[in-house]
Amino acid sequence: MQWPICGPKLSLCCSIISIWGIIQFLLLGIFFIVQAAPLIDDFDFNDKNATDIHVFDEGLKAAFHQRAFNCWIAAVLYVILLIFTGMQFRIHLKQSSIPVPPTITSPFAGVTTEGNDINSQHGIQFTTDHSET
Amino acid sequence: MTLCQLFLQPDAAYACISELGELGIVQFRDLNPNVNSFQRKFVNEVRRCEEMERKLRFLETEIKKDELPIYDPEDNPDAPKPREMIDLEATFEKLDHELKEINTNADALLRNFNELTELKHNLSMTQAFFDEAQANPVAVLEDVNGEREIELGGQATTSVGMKLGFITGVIPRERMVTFERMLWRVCRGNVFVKQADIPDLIEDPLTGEKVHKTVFVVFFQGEQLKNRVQKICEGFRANIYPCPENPHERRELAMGVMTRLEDLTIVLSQTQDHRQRVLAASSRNLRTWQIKVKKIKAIYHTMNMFNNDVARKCFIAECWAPVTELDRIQLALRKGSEASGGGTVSSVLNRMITREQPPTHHKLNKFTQGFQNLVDAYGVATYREINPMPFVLITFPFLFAVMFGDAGHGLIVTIFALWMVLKERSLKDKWRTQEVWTIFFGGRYIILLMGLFSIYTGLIYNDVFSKSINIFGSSWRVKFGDETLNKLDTVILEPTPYNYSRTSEYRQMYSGTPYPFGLDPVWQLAENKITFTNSVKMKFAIIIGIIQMGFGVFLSLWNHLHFNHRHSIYLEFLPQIIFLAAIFFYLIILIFYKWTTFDGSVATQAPSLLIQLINMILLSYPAEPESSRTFYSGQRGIQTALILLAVICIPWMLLGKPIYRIIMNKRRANYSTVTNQTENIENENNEQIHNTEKKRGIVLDVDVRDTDTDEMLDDDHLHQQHHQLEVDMSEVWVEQGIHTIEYFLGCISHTASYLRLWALSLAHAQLSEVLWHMVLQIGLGMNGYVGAIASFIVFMPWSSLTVFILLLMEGLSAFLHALRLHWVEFQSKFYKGEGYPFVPFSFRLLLDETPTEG
Repeated sequence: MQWPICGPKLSLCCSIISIWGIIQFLLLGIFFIVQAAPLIDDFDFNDKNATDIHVFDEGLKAAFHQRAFNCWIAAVLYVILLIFTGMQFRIHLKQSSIPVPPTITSPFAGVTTEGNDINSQHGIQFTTDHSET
Repeated sequence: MTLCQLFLQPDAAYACISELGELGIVQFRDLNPNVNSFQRKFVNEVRRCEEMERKLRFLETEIKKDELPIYDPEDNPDAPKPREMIDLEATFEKLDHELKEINTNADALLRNFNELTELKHNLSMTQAFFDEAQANPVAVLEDVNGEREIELGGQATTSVGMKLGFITGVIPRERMVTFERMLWRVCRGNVFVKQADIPDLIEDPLTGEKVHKTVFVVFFQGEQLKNRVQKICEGFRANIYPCPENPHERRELAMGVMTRLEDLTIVLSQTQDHRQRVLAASSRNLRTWQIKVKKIKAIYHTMNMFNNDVARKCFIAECWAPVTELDRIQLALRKGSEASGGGTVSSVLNRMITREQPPTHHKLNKFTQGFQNLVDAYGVATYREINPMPFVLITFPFLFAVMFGDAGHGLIVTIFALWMVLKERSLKDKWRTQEVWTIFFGGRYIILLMGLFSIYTGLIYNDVFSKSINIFGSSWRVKFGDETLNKLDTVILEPTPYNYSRTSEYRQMYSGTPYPFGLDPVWQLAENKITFTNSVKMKFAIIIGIIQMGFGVFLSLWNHLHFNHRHSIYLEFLPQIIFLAAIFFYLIILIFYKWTTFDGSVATQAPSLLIQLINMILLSYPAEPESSRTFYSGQRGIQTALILLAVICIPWMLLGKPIYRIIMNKRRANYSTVTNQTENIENENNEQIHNTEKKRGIVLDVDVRDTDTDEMLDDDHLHQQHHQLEVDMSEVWVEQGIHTIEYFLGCISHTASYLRLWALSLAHAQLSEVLWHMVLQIGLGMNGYVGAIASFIVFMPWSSLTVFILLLMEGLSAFLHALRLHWVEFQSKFYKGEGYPFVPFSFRLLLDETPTEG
């Protein structure tokens, strides 16, 4: 992955959200699998009005487990997002940490005659860089 | 804090001040406030420093223009000696001169270079044009509206005796069209213009921008037309270049231009190299120099404030200094005297006695600084007044957390604050110019404590992102039969801890032992959760509020004891605390009494606290609605007594202090009439002696300790003090009246004001619950594996809304309300805040504040 798709701020923001998401969804998954009562408000299930206690229990259990797996899948998705954005962020970090010689950083400051080509090229790079962020 | 007088040798003064500046615990007073700043002694030196600063600024802009890194020195250079100042000046002068020369040279060279490049292009273009014309003369002739017989023979001359002249030049491309049209109109179509674009960009010498330019050749006939064309060229600011008519000469000129251009590039690059070298060398020292110059300037600026005694050849300074630091100041003075090499007479430090109010100085560290800022934003403490900061340190985050009670949100706040605290060093200098960031960073310890307390209150409320956690196991059991459950949508759990026997199906539902910590998680599912929590939170808000107000009143006792205002204890503190106790402490007792005595079985008949309070003040005790029945027998008598006590407090406080003042004034008047006559004679004698010195506003005796220091004060101060003694009695009455009304009405309104603790915590809990239901539940509620994707997508808006609405907006509002509760409800009970801050003369402060300006 050579070119950065998202800018430094977006990738940092996404990484932080995905770290939060991973932790929260992992925990939520655990709470769903142990059938935590406070979470019962959050969903409907098929056998809600069943009169037989066993049918009701089975339905409740299935619904809870479904949510638990959903949460864990979401957590995995956030892991993928974290890997992606983390890589993006590191690319940006590397780019900004490379010590660039002063002549290249200043497209307008150079007085040298031959520098024109390099400067204009870099100027273009610079602008495209910004449009992507 | 004490006022000190410093006697400094003129030689040693500079070194002493520099030592004191490094120490940074002394605040100098301006001893010549009436002297214009241009007439002071060291104005020349200050001006020189400013000149040096200007040069350094120029150097810095030049360095920044070349984007060279500026090195920040690790160590703090000492203030240079006065001798060194001349060296510095010389260095800067040299650098400045050199740099300016380089710049002018570079400019000239650059202009030359640009002209030559233009000429080069000009020549090559015209060359090409002439070549073309030679090769295909017919085409050219057709171009020039046929009829005129113009022959462009190789040398651009006519063979028919008509001599065609031409002018070549360069003009910016965007002007070309108007230029051409103008030529056509002015010369009535008698000129022929040929143009060609220069492919490269050429730098404009004035603006430094790169612009497109065009070469043009104008052919014309006769002198008059030539003049006209030249004038138009001037008008359009086109650069005209001479172009020989002979192709041979042209070639030669082109060759010459090429060689000169090559030479120029070499010279230019060398100039640039030289400039780079000079700037790089100075960039290494720039910050050190800046600090040094700033220190010199600060020292001379301070010395301008001193009184210069010509007769005794010494400087006299007055300064405020903490008493505990006097030893260190003495040491610094000795060091300064030794450093200056004088050593013959060391500097002298005397303590002075004054009636002027000293500045307020708190010893702070980075942890307490943020909280002190909160307090100081209301008003700097009066000198020696009790500082509410140590109490605010705990109560502020606590009251904030009561309104912000959610463990999940608290956790995020804590993590953010922890990050700022742990990365303190690297974050300190980052984003210094961003105001919002500096506010957050300055309050990082406050935010940390707020976050930790929010986790605590969140656990008490049992709210984690609006969900409860069941750690210890709920103490409620649901044991209804199928019959009941089938019939009803909702069932009611009875809170009685024993078997409830109205119907046989109701079994024991409440275990009798409450949930060990915080709110029972069963309330999360209850329909009447808000009704329940409202009642609890409201009572807590009242209890917390009254305790904090009572604490504030007790702190005022501390103030009275310290200032030795014995009368204020009896005339202000006692009525205040009795009033508070008679009504509001009693209310707290009633709250606890109600909590402990009424359980589930008799809950419906429990009297209402609010109605009880109203009845207590109205002195009416109706028996009719159950809620207004008394709590206990004899309540009527006790409450009437308490009300009477509270009412007595009002005139007690209103009249007590003014009457005390009147008595004291009378006594003083009696005393003074007796003693005045004898004292007057003595005073007159004394005055005659000191008269000459008094006019100068300063006593010249070195052993000031024995003399009466009142005389050392300016006349203005004396006048002020006289006024303070004879305050108008009507003013005292009005002031005390306002004070009394403010306190007694305040007690009631402030108690109600503390209800905001409940209101904001309710709002916060509801908002976070709504957010969960409206956003995150979309994902969790879906059946099948689509729910996973939906959860993934929905989490992003949920988390960002949580941060922006619940953390930032709600956090800000809770912060502001907590601040208000401290400023208005708490500090009004004891805090005057009429002081002014201690601003020491310190190099560290001076150097710290400058980067934020830039």
